[in-house]
Amino acid sequence: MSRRLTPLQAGWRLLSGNPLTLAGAVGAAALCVVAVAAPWIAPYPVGVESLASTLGTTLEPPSLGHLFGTDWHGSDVFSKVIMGTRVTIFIGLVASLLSMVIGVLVGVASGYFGGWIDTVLMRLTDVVLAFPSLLLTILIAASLGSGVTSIFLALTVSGWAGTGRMVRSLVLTLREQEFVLAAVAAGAGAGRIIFHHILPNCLSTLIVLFTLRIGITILSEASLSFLGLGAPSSAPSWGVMVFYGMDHVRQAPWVAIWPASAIAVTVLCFNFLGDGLRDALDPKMRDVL
Amino acid sequence: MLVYVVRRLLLAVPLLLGILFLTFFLMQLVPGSPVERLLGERGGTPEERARLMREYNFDRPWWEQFGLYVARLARGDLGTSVNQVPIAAEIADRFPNTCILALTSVALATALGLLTGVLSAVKPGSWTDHACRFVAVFGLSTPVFWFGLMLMLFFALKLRWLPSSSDTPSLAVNLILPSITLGLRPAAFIQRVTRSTLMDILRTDFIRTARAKGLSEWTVVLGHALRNALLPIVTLIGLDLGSLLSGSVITETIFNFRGIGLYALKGIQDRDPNVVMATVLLSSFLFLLANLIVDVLYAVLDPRVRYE
Repeated sequence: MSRRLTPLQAGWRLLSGNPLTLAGAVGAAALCVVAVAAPWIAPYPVGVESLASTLGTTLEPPSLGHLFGTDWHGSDVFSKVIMGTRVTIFIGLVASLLSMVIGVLVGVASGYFGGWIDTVLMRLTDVVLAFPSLLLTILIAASLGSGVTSIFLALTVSGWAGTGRMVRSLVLTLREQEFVLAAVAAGAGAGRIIFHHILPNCLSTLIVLFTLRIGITILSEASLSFLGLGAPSSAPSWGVMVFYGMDHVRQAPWVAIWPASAIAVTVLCFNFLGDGLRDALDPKMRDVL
Repeated sequence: MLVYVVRRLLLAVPLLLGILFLTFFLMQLVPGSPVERLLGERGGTPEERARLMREYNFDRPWWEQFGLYVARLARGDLGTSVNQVPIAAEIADRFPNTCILALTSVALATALGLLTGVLSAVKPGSWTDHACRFVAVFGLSTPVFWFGLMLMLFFALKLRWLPSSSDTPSLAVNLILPSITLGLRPAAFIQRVTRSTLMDILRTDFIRTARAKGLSEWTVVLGHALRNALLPIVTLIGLDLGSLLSGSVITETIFNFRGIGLYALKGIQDRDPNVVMATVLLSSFLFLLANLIVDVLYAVLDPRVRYE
């Protein structure tokens, strides 16, 4: 009989055997490193635009001095993209985490307690799922005004429902399993059963959902920003950079293309990683997600 | 079956009301009333403002406003936008554009997705398979606006083959880039599902029988296997069509395409509650309808599926 692999070992086995997953993992890790070390990697300081524009180097095409060219203010696009990694990855991770937390809370409450709680929460989930997701995100961001908080709220409120539905179905199956019945018989309370018995068994699914969620969140943030609803800042996210770059896309396409490509590559990395993890940790989900 | 369809439609009513309520609630959060924005810089006299507030019911408490809206909606009246244009007329003007765009995109996606899916499944592990799968992964991960932007820059600005926005009259020409942009993602999904379903079916006994009878490989694949793989593929196509029919905000923005998505975005930007409610309602309704049609198609395509 073969030795049982822990999910982590199985994950590693798949990671090392699947070049796309490995590429995704390496890429995602590299992006996180860039996000942390951004100020040391960026060749030019970001945010002193007025100084640069007086030197007359606005909208300069890519060269050795400015790898990705310069923008309307004369800032180095490469430096801005590097600094934007920080903003984009931060928003992607935090907003995904927030929507996961809400989704798990809703799913567990719904699946474990059932009854009217389940009815109310699931009808709410139905509403959010049937709502065109990008429109909902835009609507929330627009009604709360521009700012980082409203972006987070918009991404979280429109993003939890799928996770909620998924976790509920997991909890419903787990709740009937013998080890949970045994815990109930032993006198364990709801909190103990949920945190010690049910959630640990959802973990692999949650990891996969989270990884895939990051890509979706980054895309939603980028779409919001692309429509002019992003958070304006001296260190803007990639989406905001694309939005401003669109103003001069005919004379200086590089200002929009580089941050847009950064988004594409990042989403690609997280999707490769998520797909690979899904196959490794939870092959049953292959048809569901 | 009819009972099932009617019940599903009835169940959709509270769901749509919930969606309307959520939309209404969010529009209430928007700072300032639409009347101020309508009057704009000239400000208007207090009487003028009061008249407009009364006309649009903005002077009443929000629950009354919502009730009045739903009552009017029940009579089939979508109301007017804050600049006095009837919303139904605007939607009637734009919806055909969105329909054509959605149908072209889905047709493109189906053709591309089925072709690459079948090529992939017939020889798994071959270089054709790898190439097709790479295209699929690319399609799934590419941000729509990035792809649209690249297409636009390349074809419209570099090669000057196509116009980059819809200001030239010909719809046929303006349709090409937006449909490719919009169709890429559905194509990738269709490719994936076709490949995996077809591969499963090609391993079954009746396929072996068909081959043993001496049928040509293409008859086996297209006539026997693909026919049985259609169910999940049709599901996907139906759902894609449902979501594309409600308009794509991003694609319509990039190509300045006069459709429902752009109208919804304009409504949100103008803080125009009636426009936003109407477009959200239309989108959600089409989404739910597409789900229902797909479920009904199940029963049509597969006699084993029955609804009570």
